[in-house]
Parts: sequence; structure tokens; C-alpha cells
Amino acid sequence: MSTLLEVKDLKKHFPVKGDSLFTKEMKTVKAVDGVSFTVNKGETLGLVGESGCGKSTTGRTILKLVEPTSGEIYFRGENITSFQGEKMRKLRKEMQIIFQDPYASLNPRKTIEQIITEPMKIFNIPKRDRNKKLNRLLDVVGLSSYHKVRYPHEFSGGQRQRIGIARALALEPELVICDEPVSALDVSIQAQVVNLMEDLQEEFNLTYIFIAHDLSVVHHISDRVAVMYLGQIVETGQVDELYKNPKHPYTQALLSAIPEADPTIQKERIVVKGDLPSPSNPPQGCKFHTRCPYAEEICRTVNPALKQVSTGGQQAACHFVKEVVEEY
Amino acid sequence: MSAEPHISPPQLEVSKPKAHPKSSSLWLDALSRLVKSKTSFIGLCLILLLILTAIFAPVIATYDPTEVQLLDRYQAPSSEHWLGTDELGRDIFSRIVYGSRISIQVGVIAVGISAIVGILLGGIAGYFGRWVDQIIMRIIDILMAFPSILLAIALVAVLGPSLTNAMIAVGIVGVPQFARIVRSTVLSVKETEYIEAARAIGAKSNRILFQHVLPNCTAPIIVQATLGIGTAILDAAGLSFLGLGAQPPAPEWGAMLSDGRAALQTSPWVITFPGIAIFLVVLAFNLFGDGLRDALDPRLKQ
Repeated sequence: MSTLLEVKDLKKHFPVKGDSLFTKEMKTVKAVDGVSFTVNKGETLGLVGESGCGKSTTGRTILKLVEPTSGEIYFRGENITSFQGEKMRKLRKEMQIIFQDPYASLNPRKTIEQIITEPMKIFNIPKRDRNKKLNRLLDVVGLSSYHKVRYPHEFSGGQRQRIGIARALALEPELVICDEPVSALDVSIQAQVVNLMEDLQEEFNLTYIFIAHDLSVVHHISDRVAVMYLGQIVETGQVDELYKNPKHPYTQALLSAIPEADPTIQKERIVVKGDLPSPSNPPQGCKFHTRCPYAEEICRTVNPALKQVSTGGQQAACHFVKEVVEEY
Repeated sequence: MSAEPHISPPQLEVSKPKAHPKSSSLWLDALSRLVKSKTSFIGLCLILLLILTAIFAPVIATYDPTEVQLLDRYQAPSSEHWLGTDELGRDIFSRIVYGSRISIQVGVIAVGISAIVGILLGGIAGYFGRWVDQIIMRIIDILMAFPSILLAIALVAVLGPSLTNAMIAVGIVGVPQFARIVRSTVLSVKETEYIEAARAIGAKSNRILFQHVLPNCTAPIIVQATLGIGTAILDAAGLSFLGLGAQPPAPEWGAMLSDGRAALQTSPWVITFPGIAIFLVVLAFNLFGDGLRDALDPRLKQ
């Protein structure tokens, strides 16, 4: 497997105005604060975390819909961090995004045909090919050709999300960033859309970055998972290993919150105390120490780096997890 | 909807999907709300009456509007001259009928100028932001600092008095309103996810602005255009009253007011009827525009 995307120490800080009208002091919200990961061709990386932890911003920064503050993004081995204007526009053919809200992400004034063929028009695909492709795309996402002339408001949430998927696939991208693609949908529809996305991955040999806060959905679709907390990755690893044996206390708490379908199973729920600290004023040291049940003095001063915690490639950022040195 | 105009709104909703698979219920909803409002319906009727009068002016008018009959000057309304005659013996009814053509022309062309310039400036300012926004909006602020009629007079003074120049002047005076409304709408539309989606599929700025942002700003533009026609007609009539717009013998309502003011005490009909015509037309566009605003954006109703 070859590496398709590599992100190195990515940071995105948003400036926000100070509280007072008269102070010039600018605060920054550290939405993404030093995130590094790689995505291999054909795999799905799940990016999980609670709201406001920076997972969506990470996705948008990779696509350069948001300019990164610092860090490097390599796509197919090429550093695209400084790509601007026309150069970046050309690259958009290879990386696409599926949005969270299917009601907001489709232009209400355009028909389905216009929405799905627009990317092809922009990249000058001849009209005959466009129509052929449109019919095929409608077919693979499970819509009928008579839907072409309709407007977005005439569709249900699940159908709209299929339209969004068809638009993202219109240019046959290599990488698709799925920004909570099912969290706005009914549970019954979620399964359909997730399965559709899995089928499409196989058919078009897609690579996904799947952003979500629903852990069971992520477990289902991902090969590898990265858990984010306050703009940083706290744990990452193969999905089965990480779900079975989470090392970081935050991951443990997250996973213990997944409801069990069997009422006879007594589950020990780890409840994290307190609220998510403000990303404009994150805690010193380990960002999780304010809510961590195991926090000690070192956590308040030193921010732990990701370290190898299993032979399977699992990594966690916690002072109290034993490092495992991989043996060759 | 043109096939079944008399169907009541609820039925219209139900029959819609089969009959009109392409129609947008957004507009249908707005239409049904518009027809329900009595005041905007009255406005709409008056506007239709004005348009029909303008189209069929030669049929409706009883005399040539510019024909001078010096023997018949200052005649009171009678069966022969329905609304009387002016100082040159011209039939006032016929002049008002033909004047509707000028008023519509002035309203539409002046608002057209305001709209095209205003939408472009406002759209560019709102979409590109930063220094572009600063420069454009400061120019707009300068335009707004002048009282509208004063600015129009100044422009006509530079361009020279004629109906065409009056339309241009009134059009320029109306630009700031359009620019500001379009800018604020663009500011909110450009933050939506479908605009981000357009960027993600590699659309260029001008494509995003003209194909994605501006088509979603139509509702406030339509409302402003309707209200603007009333104001434009009033301003143009004001210019003509001052002798800066339509030139004699054109049957322009504002110019007719000006002609008749010398005889206000002895022959009040010369000035009364053109005044009523201006009043009704401006009222009609204001009522209809208000109704349109309520219909297109129910949130603004408060």
C-alpha cells in the first residue's frame, strides 16, 4: 500500500476578537494544533472526536478550503501546502468532499443535473461524456434519471446526501473527505448511505477520510482510526485493535459511552468529568488533564507526544501508557 | 400555474408535483401568500391597469395628447373633455393616458440602471471583501450622503436636461440601495455550505459569484426593484416638474403639474389629475413591493 496523503504537524489557528471593544488584543482559537497522520491508498481513516475538537477543520484544511496556519500537506508525495489559485484548482479534481448537512450543501436554485454535472463542466469534459457519466452516477448512487430535472428541495435528506456523493464522485477523485456524511440523517438511512459509500469505495478504488462522532459508524467503515481531542490526535491505530484495547483514557471514556444492544451486559461506563475546555484557552500540558481521572503533576506541565503502544501500530499520547518498541 | 390561475392556493399545492415537476414550490408559496394579501393585490391591480393603459393608449385616449386647441383652453371636466383641458387646450385625460407610457419607461429603465450597476458593485464588494469592499462601499456612502433629488438635479445639470438624462440621473441615485442590499445578501449567502461545495469542485470566483451566489439573492433584489420603480417615477416627475426631465410638449405627469400651477386657483383640474395619477402609481408600486417582501421573506414581516 502506498501513501496517498501525509499530514505533518498541521495547525489552523483562527483569530478572534478580544472581549473588550477597546483592546486590540487578538485571541486565537487553536482549532487544529499539530496534527500528523498518513492515509494509504484505498483505505479509510476514521477521524473521531466530540464537537469542536477540530476534526472538520482538519478535513477542510487538507482540501485548502481553509488555509492552514502552519504544517505540511503531502498529496501523492507532493507538498501542496503552498498551492494557490489555478494550481490548487486543478488539484481539486483529485480530492473531493462530502458535506455534513445535505440540506445546506446543495444550491437550491439548481437542478440535480446541473449540480452533478457542474464539476465536469468546470473541468471541460465534453457534453456527451457528461451525460453518460451523469446517468451512470445517478445509477450508482441509487437515483433515477427522471430525478435529473428536479430541485434539491424535492428530495429527502438521504436522497440529497446521495446527490452530494454523486457530485463528489463526478470527477473520479482519489481522495474523498467525508465530513460527518451521515450524522444529519435518520438512523435507518445512515446504514444505507454508509453501505453505499463502502460499495463505491470498492468500485472506484476510493480513499476516504471519514470524519464522524458516531463511534459505531466509524468502527463499521474505517480501517484505521484517529481520535482527536482539542485539536490534537490523542490515539490512533487499526480500528479493531483500538476499539478492543483503547490505551488513552479519553478513548476509553469515548468507547465506554457506546450503548450496548444487549441489556444483560453490564458495562462499566467511564464518565469524563467537566466540560470541554475552550479551544481559545486550552489547558497547559496534556490537554486532557482537566478531565482525566488519572491526571498527575506531570500531565499539568508536559504535553505527551504520540508513542507506540502496541506491536500493531497503535499510538497514544499519554504519560502513563507503556511504550512498546516494535521488534523486527 | 398559468394554466389554472383561479385555483385556490391549497389545491395549487396538491396538484403541483404532477403538473409541474420542474416548478419550485418556493415561488408558488410566495405567490399564494402574495395573492392572499389585500393591499398587495390592490397594488397589483393598479399596476396591471397602468400597463394596459400604456399598451392601449391610442385606443383609450380621446384626443391627440399634443394637439393644441387654443379655443378650448382651461375647459372644466365635461363629457367632451373628461378631465378638462390645459392652458393650450390639450385634453388632460389623453395626456395622462399617454403619460403612463413615459412613467413606465422611466420607472423600468431607471431601476434597470440602478439594478445592473448596484448588483454588480454590491456583489463584487460582498463577495471579494477586504479592500475591494472598502473602496466600493465608501463610494456608495458618498453617493448616499447627498439627498437623492439634489444629486439627481446635479447630475442632470451636468448631463443637460432631457428625459433620457433624467432616467440616467434617477438610475444613478438608486444605485446605493441596490448595492447595499445585494452586498448584505451576498455576505450571508457566501458563507453557506453550497458555496463551499462550489469551491471544492474547483469553480472559479466569477462562476461562483454569478452562478451560485447572485441567483440566491433574487428575492431582496426583486423587492427592491418593485419599490424602486415607485421612487424612480416620483423622482423623475420631480425632475420634469423642475423642467429638467421630459421637455414640452411631451405629456409627462410631472411636467403637467408644472404647466398647470399658474392656473391652480382658477382651473384646479389641470394640476389635480396628473397629481392623482402620480400618487396612485407610486402607491401601487409601494403596496405591491411591500406585499412582495412579505411574501418572499416571511421572516421580515415583523
